[in-house]
Amino acid sequence: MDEARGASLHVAESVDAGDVIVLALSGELDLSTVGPLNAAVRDAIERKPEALIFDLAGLKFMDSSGIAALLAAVGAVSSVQVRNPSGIVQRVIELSGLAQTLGLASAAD
Amino acid sequence: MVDTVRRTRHRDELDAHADGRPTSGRARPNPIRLSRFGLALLAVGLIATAALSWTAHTINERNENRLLALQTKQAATVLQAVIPALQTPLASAAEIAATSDGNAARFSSYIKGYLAGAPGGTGSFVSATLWRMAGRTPRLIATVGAAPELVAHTAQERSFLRRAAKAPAFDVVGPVGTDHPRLGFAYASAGRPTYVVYAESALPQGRRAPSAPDSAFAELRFAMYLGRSTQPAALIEANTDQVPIAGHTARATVSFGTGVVTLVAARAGQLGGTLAQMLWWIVALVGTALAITAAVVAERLLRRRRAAERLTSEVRTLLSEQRSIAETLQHALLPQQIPDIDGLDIAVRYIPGVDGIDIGGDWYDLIALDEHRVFFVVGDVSGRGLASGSIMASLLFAIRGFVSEGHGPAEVLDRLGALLDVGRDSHFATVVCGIADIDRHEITLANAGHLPPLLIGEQGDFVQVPTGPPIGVRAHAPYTAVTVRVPRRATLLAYTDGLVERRGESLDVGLRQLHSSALGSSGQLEDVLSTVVAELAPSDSGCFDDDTAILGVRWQN
Repeated sequence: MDEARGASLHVAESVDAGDVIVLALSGELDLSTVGPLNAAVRDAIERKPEALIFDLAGLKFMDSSGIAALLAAVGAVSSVQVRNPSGIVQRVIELSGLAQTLGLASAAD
Repeated sequence: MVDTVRRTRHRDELDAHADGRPTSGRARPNPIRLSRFGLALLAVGLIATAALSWTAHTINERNENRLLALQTKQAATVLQAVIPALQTPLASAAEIAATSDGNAARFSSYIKGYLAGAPGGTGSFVSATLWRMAGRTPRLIATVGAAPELVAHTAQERSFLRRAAKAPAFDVVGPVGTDHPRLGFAYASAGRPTYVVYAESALPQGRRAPSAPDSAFAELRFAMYLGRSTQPAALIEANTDQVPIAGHTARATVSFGTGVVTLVAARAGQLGGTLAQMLWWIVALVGTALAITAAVVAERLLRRRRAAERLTSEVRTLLSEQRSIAETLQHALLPQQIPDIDGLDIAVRYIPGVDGIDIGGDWYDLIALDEHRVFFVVGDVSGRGLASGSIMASLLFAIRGFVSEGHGPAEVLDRLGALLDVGRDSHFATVVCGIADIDRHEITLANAGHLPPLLIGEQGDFVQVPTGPPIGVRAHAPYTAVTVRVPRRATLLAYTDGLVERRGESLDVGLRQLHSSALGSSGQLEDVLSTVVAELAPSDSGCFDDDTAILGVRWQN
């Protein structure tokens, strides 16, 4: 069903100066595509970075599966931030009460 | 909005195996008894083994018989080679006698070198005599060694010597004598008068002579007869006590002077080697072992497959039972009785998602504070399964405790933060809670990452509450409570994300659908909830993907 719909997620990892890992997500993030992100987050956590940044510029869609994936990092890395969410994605993050936790200025706060 | 695990959809598979439910008292299959397939395999294996073994045996037998015939022929050749050693001294002695006109001394000095035991002698004779034939009557001229046995049998002696005298050729007679039988050899000289040299050699004791291990006869049981008859009286020598030779025998005849020697032989051991003899046994044993192994292995594979099928079916049943037990437990944790509060209608729904193995962590709770106020909670623990369920239970009871201590919604959420840590527990929870005040037409709400409740009056809107992070994300997140004015006969709907979140659809789409569905439905609160559930359930399956909890509160005035 999900494959037929063609939902896909691409995760690109880069390492910023020092110990900052950046995961750039593009595509759609839901239950059917969250697997690679969970793996990438686990992998990043194991390397104990100073900070983990999710760049969501290319992310068109996200549901609560994505929130759970991001929160898995929040529990393990001291600084977790989200950058460049689209309107829809920003809304999901705000509804989850995570705008501040994930370093986003929230209109609702 | 906190579900992380896809629920596997295998209701069809479960249904398909529902009638194949195993019984726990099933007897273990007999470990020896083979199924029909195993028996057939064993039978085929054994038949093939028997055929191969029979073939190996037959080939070996044929080979052995061929080898026996060859060896017997070889032995006959060896026997033939003995003749000159016997014939030459006698022929020479006869010649000496003829040229010396029957000189006994010259005969004796020549022939004694061929007597057994003679100094420097190499021969096998025990007795040698020289005869002159005067007409038909033989006359003894000289005797060397023992007296000839033949002399004791006058008639036999005469007839043999006469026979020998007829031609200058090697002649054999025997066995002669009874106590110590001997074989007699004669050679007659040419010309007149005729001299006959007659010598006897002793036969072995009892005519038994074991063969030397390296002789041509070593691998044979054999008997030698003088003449063509194999009567015991004609036996010259045998290397076995079992005479006549039993079993499969080969026969060879050797010209021995004017007569013949018959050689009868059978195999003493295995001519073609032990391996060739053992081959059919080896084939039989290995083949049988292989056939049995193949049958047992096939049987085990068959049983393992059946066991796997049975286990699969059992596992499915157990999973379905587990799900049902988990659901029962979860339902048991949820409030069984809705508080009866004057002026307030309350309705709840708990809808399991598409049938799966694990339970979700959704819950609702209602606590009457006094006659006019009720504390309500809707929450959702991330993930699925027993861990989510037990976290849900601990949060539910913790909230009841905090509420009984008199804490308001924001303080309750503040305090929950100490109970859960996503880094430690791998779970977090979204909770919305609040106090509904009947008389003052007010709701006081606080929200930890949960979807906003919907308040429906003349119009309807989602209650705008500052949303803090989910429980478990930050230990000391300050939550803010907001008090909202409630219109007359208004309805508040709080729900978990299963109601509005659908795969591939933006959350806002689901929220808008909820809004229009709730606003458009009329009648009792129960009816409103039923309508909302019916309209929001995905049309393809009729079931929500995720577990869904809904709480509705309506002011009667």
